Amino acid sequence: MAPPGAGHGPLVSLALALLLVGAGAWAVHWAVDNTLTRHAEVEEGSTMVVTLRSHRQSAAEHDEAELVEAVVAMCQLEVGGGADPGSLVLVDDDRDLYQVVFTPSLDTADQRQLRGCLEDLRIDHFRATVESMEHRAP
Amino acid sequence: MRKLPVVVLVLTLVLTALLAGQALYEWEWSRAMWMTTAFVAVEVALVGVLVLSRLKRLDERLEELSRADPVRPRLVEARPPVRDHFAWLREEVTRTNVFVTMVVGGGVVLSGVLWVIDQIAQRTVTPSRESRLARDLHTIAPPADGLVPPEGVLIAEDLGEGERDDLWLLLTGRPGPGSAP
Repeated sequence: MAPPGAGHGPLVSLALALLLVGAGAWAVHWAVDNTLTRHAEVEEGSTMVVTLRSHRQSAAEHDEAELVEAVVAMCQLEVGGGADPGSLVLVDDDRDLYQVVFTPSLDTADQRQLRGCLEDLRIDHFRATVESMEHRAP
Repeated sequence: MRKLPVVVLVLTLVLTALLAGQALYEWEWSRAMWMTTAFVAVEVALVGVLVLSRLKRLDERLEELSRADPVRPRLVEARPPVRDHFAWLREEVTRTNVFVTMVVGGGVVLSGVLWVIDQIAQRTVTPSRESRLARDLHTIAPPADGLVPPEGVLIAEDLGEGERDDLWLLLTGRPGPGSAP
């Protein structure tokens, strides 16, 4: 006499296999949605104001403004955007906040890449965090 | 296998993988590289711990097997005594050492063999080399009838053009190559 439930073996296996395939397909779709870079058209004349907070350790030899400028210069090359020349200004000395304007503005993918670059880069015991990225229409 | 280190390593592995993935997602390349390096290091450590524990278990199992088998100890006990092939080299007071004798005797025998080889070489190699040298010298030997040309040739060399034709006519009965037809 066959043990109870022995006849359901292939059906259960098939259902499990289908479930796994579905989960795999969903995972791939989710990963593509969240990792694939999709560039969008940016309005001509739009700008983006990036506010940075600088974190400079005492061991740093260079001036803080120079270091912020260096980080922005490197990251604008990484994303292929353009920071307006002379737009980098210190807006809050107490909180070490700097602002820089990008013209034209950046699409969502480039904004993410710029934020990652700015927060990842370390130059001479200096790092920056992005406080805000504000898109301004023309 | 100690479970705590393995659990810690696995958790660290998962954490570094998640952090590396997050850094890649946020375009933070430096952080992603550091996390990936940590991931590989932890992975190697985990594999090392697992392999070592596996080897330890195998070692223990082999020891258990050898301990449980009663035949092997008997075989080890019944091994024949190890032969000492160079006992004759050892210095002993009670017996004559034969090492020096053997060395001297071996030298005499070896000298005799070399003397025989030398004698054979002298009687075979030297005559054959002399024969070969004699054959080679034949190629540079002077002509058998000497280096001076015959007298007739010398006389002909001293004659003028007309006298040489007359001599030709005298010797051959025909006019010489330079005379008019």
